Amino acid sequence: MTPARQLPLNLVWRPALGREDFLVAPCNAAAVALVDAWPDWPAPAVCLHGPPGSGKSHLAQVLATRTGAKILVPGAWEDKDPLGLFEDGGVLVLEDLDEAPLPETPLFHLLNACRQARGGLLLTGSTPPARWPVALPDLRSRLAALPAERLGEPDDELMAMVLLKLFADRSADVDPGVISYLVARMERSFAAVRDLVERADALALSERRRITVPLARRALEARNPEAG
Amino acid sequence: MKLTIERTALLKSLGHVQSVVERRNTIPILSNVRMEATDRGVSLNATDMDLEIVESVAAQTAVPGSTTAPAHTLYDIVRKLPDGSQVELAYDGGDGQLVLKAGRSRFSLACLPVEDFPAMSAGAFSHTFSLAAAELRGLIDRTRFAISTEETRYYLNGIFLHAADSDGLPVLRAVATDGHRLARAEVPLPEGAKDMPGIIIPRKTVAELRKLIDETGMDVTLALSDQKARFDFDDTRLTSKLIDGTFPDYERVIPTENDKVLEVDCKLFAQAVDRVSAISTEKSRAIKVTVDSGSLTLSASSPDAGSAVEEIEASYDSTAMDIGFNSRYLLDILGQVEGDAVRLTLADAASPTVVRDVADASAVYVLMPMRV
Amino acid sequence: MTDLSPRTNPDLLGHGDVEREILETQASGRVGHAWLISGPRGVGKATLAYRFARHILAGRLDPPEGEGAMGCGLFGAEAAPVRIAPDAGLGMDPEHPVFRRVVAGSHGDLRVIERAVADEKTGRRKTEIVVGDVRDLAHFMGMTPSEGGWRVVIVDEAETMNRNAANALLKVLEEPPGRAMLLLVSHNPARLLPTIRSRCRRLQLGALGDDILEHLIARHLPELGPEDRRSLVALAEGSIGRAIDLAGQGGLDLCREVISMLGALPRLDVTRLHALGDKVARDDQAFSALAELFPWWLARMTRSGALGQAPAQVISGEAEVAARLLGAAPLDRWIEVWEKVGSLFERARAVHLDRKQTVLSAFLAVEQTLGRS
Repeated sequence: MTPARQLPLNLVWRPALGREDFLVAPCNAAAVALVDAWPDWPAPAVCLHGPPGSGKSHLAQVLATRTGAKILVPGAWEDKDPLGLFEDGGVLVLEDLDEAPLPETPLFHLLNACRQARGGLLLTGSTPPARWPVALPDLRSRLAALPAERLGEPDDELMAMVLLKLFADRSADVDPGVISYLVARMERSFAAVRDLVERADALALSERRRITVPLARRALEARNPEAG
Repeated sequence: MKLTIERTALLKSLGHVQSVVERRNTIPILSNVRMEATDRGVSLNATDMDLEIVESVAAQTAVPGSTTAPAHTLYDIVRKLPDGSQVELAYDGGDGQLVLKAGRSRFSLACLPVEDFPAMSAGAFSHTFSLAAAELRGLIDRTRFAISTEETRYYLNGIFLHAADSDGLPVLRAVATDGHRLARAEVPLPEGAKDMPGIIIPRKTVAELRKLIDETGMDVTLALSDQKARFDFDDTRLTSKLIDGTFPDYERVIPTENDKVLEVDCKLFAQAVDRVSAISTEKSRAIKVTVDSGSLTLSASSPDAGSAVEEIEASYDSTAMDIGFNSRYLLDILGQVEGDAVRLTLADAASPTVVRDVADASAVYVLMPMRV
Repeated sequence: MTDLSPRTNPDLLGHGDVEREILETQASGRVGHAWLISGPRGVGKATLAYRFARHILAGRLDPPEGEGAMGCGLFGAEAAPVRIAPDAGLGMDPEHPVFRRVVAGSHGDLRVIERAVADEKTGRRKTEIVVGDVRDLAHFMGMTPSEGGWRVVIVDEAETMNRNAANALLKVLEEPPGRAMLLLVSHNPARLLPTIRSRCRRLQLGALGDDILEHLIARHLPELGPEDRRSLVALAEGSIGRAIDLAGQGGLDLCREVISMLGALPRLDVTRLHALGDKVARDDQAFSALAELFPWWLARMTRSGALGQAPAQVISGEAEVAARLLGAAPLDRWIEVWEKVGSLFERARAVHLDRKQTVLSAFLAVEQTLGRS
């Protein structure tokens, strides 16, 4: 008989999404510079692309905080008057455009309205806009011409910083050595960092332990927290 | 400084303040109580540098002034004085001694300069509001058992007090969690508390507060900022530091979709849990709860002690299931239920269970199961 | 005796440049979260740390109200340059309430981490700062400040932190809460974890100049005559702490005694040698002073021999003794003697060898060198 094991509540913290919380590294420096450059953008509309968790939404939040930009939710803007959305040079954000079928005509109108209203528009997606599956030839060429910056896969240093930030977002107490232990062994992706932090924190909470290197090892080994 | 004060009044006030003073202090002045005599009486002040209690007591002041003297010694002396005595306290600064006279007793106590006494500056408070003592007690009692004692998770070492919206009604909410269970209690939002900062009140402050509430039936006035909380009772003022951290987004762990509803007599349930848990291992305290239509079965087994089963009547009409709980946690929650019946809403054996007092919608408890 | 304890000492001489550096950094709005104050022993590092701490605790880090707030603009608005008066420093009136509470240990927003007292009677401290000494820090940093401003932590002799203590401190350094300042003091920063060093701004204190040292000795050891004072200046090598220690340990007399006995070699005055041995066997302080001074004097003599010039005269008559010894044996022999005597005292300290025996062996080492030539 395995001993009874207390399961933990999945305590979560609101992630810190300020500009100072964004971790700049070579793989995302160009994207950060682009967002920071507003209002001196090379074109009225620009694009950020990169894998899930690479920081697109965080940067969009940063832009929104700084400029008062509205983040448009799919389904809520397509019917609206595109010029009206920009009211006096406003800034808009449209996220994850390549995840669902593109609202091609409304997007085309939005791009035009953005130029006309002297507004700003930030688009995000996981792939470069030139590769988004678009049928409308005019829209396709417009997207291909957008200034776009990529947020790449993280290097070691950024992985370490992201680990630290995510643990800090959860106010988790991490022993020295844990971060470098994990960086040396884990999958190079932001999604993996998020999963791992969640698993390690859940283990620590469940067993009322600190996050030590042995605990981190178990978190790495346990793909599925329920299998542990 | 020179004043005369009635022994009982002095004893009561010293009792309040000296409980804050640590028994062992490497910093001498922290063992002392600061006293200040004015025309309005005398105020007594003690601190452990995390919280401070100030008591105002009526006294006849002959010479206004202030000094500090050892709190526990002073308390011991006053406690042993005969009831009804008049106590004279005098300090002329010359030889650094506080002279205490009562009847034919005379004591000299070594003083330390009042300038060396810690200053807990309250700063500006952004919100001030009043609360009935019973309401504050309710918020504390129904949540404090869930406060974490893990020092590394210091941001969980207190009660999170904040303004919230409960189905459209503004409420003042208290939340505590240790990562295994969570307790949330609320009262209607007092006037003046709108937009207050969310604060985490440290465990020790909660304990001191609770003692003070017991001794007063009156309203409590709270003053808050993002750095301090102050609680004013009749003659007692408690000012406390706060935990400087972020409380988790607790709403996300309170399930809303649990669809299996179990109702059971709270007292019978608690007694049964208590009995069956006699068998569960000391360390895990695990018991198994089996629910089936119309009944609830509690069981526990341990390789050393044997096994136990008890069935009680319950209202349940969903699919049968087993779920494990830490019996201690279950009893903690059941102990807060004042009504006759308790309602558990369950999802499955690995998801949080919600516990409520059927007669009281103002408190919610969330309990994570154990894998048994 | 005088109280030069950094907690209570309101004065610091000879480091005005360093204090100006702090004030200039503060004016530029980049005061950061951690500073490492390093430099030789006994020059005022901890005194500076306390001065800096009091300065911060008194709210002097923040610009006065209405004087062009800095660093609070959303976009890091340019801080208005703050003018620093040429004589500005971190000084504070000892009657200032912050000063009083720091002395009393009752300032709620200051924590001092140092080696714990091991023996209440002698005041002897443990050899390391252990994790238990640092543990309170998490609680301190996890609570809002007591007086509403900054929280300050001083770590004295930071190099004595053992591995666990250093790691615990590192965690605070990695994620300091807002308005928290760590001041690390170390005479040997190379022994700190590199990850700790790299997170601190550095402040390097130099040795005190002879004139400042003489002034300080006159102030704190008024009983010394001018000649003793000058001798002590030379012995103390820019460290007022060392000067006061040596004076308290009878270092000057010991030094004279040793030089005079060395001067009599190769004749070994057995009575005097035994008397010296007995004295240091009884008296910890005298032994510390001798363990420091004997090898130090041999090193100085050897150095002057290598340079071909006479050493500065610290004790009257020492130049002749040095010249005679150097003339009696080649320099490389004296280097060996210096090393041998140094390691003798080192071992005596480390494994508690018999002190009298150690003193005897040291003199014999010198005597044999003379005898062989």
